[in-house]
Amino acid sequence: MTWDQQKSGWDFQRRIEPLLPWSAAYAYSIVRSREDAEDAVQEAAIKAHRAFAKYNPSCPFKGWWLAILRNCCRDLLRRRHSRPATATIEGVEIPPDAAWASDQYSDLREALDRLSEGHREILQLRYFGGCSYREIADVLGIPAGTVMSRLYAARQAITAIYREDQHHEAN
Amino acid sequence: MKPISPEEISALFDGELMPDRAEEVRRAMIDDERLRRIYEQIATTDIALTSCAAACQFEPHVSLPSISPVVGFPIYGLAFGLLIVRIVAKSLPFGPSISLQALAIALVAAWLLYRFLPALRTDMWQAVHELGLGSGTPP
Repeated sequence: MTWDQQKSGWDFQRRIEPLLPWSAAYAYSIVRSREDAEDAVQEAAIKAHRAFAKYNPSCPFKGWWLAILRNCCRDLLRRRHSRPATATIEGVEIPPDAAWASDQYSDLREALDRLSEGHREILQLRYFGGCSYREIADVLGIPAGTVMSRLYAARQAITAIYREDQHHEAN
Repeated sequence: MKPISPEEISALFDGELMPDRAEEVRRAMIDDERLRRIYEQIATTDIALTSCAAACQFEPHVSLPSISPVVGFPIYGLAFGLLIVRIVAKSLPFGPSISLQALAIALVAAWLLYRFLPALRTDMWQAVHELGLGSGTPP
């Protein structure tokens, strides 16, 4: 390891550490299991660490990092899909763990599962990943204006599903 | 004034609207009940999603490839600096004589401080950088 690689390693560590809780929540929202989320974050951290030399500092680090994490989550889902699923990403079924399906937010998570992939993805990045519009645009490779309209549509869609569910429960 | 879209209300809520436009939207909301309802609905959904997301946060255990405490130590820069000090001290008529053993002890002591005091790494890096012996971003 050279001195430059050493400095690059410290720089990477300094940047990634404050993002870990958000990253874990984002990965958890995709893979629906804490254990798998932890594996995905670990795998993404190693990949990002190796690729850090190619990172362009003029772009937000968080967007760059979450794009790598998103790909790792998707790869992990492709490798592990033995449990019963509630949602799919690119045709791959997502198996939830007990905590994801059973705590006080289970209704909301169920509503998330019923969204289209595009709507679910943007809400995951905004809320679970804690991303700004610019960061979301970087991760998804779409213009910031599209982020604004898609996020509004996703909020409308989840509100409609959530209300519909509550209406059914009331009846 | 350009008509206000619900998407802009959403962006205003997220603090992502340009300041001038945000001010226009805020002013329009005062008189427009429909815009206020959209804002309130977004706020309600936002509270639920934010709490749900917060409940999903945890500190994952991540181990990165080890960062060697020896390689990162700017040993060449420091040894060079100590040698310069020795030469300068020798050249002075009444300057103190610094033995090579003392230089070696100083190097080991510096490494120990560097190894066990992480805050010192940044200071040491800056000093080396200012002498023109380093490049890149600080640790």
